[in-house]
Amino acid sequence: MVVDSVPLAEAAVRERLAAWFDQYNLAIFRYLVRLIGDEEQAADLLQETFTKALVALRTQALPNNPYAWLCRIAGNLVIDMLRRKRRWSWLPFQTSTPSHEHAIATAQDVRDCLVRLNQREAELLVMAHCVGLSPSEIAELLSENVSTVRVRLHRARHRFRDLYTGESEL
Amino acid sequence: MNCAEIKTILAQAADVAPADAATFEQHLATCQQCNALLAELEAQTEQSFALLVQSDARPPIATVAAIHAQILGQTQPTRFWQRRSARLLQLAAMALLLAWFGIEALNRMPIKQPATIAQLQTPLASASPAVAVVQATPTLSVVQPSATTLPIASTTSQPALTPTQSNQPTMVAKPLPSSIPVVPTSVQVQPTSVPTNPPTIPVASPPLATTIPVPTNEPVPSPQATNALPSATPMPEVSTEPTDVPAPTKETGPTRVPPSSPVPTTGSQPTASATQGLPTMPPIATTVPTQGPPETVIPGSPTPTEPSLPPLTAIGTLGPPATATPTATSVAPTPTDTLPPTPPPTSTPSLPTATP
Repeated sequence: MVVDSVPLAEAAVRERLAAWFDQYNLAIFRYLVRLIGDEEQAADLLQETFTKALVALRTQALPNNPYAWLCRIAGNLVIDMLRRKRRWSWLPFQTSTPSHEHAIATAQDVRDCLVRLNQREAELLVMAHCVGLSPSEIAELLSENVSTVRVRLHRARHRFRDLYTGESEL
Repeated sequence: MNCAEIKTILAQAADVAPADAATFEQHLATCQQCNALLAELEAQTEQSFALLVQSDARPPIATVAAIHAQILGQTQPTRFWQRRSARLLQLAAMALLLAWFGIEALNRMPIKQPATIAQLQTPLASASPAVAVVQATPTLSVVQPSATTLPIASTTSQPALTPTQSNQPTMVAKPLPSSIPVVPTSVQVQPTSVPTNPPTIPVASPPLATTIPVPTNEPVPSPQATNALPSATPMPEVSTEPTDVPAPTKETGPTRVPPSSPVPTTGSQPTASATQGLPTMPPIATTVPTQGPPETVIPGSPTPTEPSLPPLTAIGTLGPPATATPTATSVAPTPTDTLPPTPPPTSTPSLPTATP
């Protein structure tokens, strides 16, 4: 993942990040809106994403896939925020366990399931199904083995289905 | 590794070892059932995430500009305590601090308490009684309680306060010994006379020498001549100069006015009958103020019907009083005088009188 082993200078980092922002801000903003469902919060998270990226670039090298890297930062921020919101919201009381096909799924249910997953599983699902990264890209981004990422991804999907159909509780 | 172990690995929450991951991949390459199971899982997950609708929204321009400036180091990033929620927390904390300081300040305020009960009693004894006998005002007098005491007045005494006050007279309201003379103030309302008729505008009209028509056989004045007689116009002064009179053709004596000649009425136009020489009644000297030509006086030619009249003066001016003549009555009416009822002329419009 890391191309340059030596971090750039402050001015170079800022210029590079500004270029990335001009290139990916729209895509990352829509990605955030899709995950959160609120444009104002997405705008706040967009600013926070690039703030974290600026801090991270001061200590590490430039990533090969800046879009995936920025989406990972943004995805983690979304999951954190959804978890904070879940603490202050009421969850619906499910009296039945409908099958996956008959479940009237809503976007909020998907977000609830994402929140109930652990951080790494949710991150994998978001990168795989929201950003559209392949297991190899995810493995490169996470600096992990591709086989391991595949297995983890299968486990995350299995967990997500259980949560979605109500067969499992955390 | 078999299919059951694959399902067990999928259900585990622990991290996957790289060796286990390789074995997992080897089994999937050979097991169609497990491949179908994992493919179904991927499809279901993809279907669920499809509910997260793609958005076509764009970030606000201000936000984009702010982030860009922040990246370039032109502005400082927003800290936690600079956000709205943090500011609310700061305000709440400040309010709590202020409330705590206020309570502490109230608790530390010194309260002066009397040392002994004697100090409490001293000011009470020296103080004026709570219920003091008020000096009677001129409208109040001390009277003995009687049956006629009004119950309301008796309630003004407070015997329950002190037992010694029960013997004291009751303070009742008594009328003053001398009645206060009430002078009726009469408001004299000036009667306002509202004229029912329109107010008469006093016109400085000189008294007119009204000639009372005598029922004679006078020629009927034409309406044009009579209507043209203003009543309020001042009488022009009579010119004493002789005017041009048509010279007599045969007679050289005193000028005689032919009977057919028009009567020298001042201001009266000769009627058509007069100009045509119709026989008319002897002329009567009428002094009707008109705006016509001045009266012509021919000296030395008194007509038999005309007595010697004093020279006509302007009506309203100081002149010799008019003398009553048998034929012509010159009346100088005052504004307050009223004319006696005149006999209505026959088919002639009555001359306007001086009275309005």
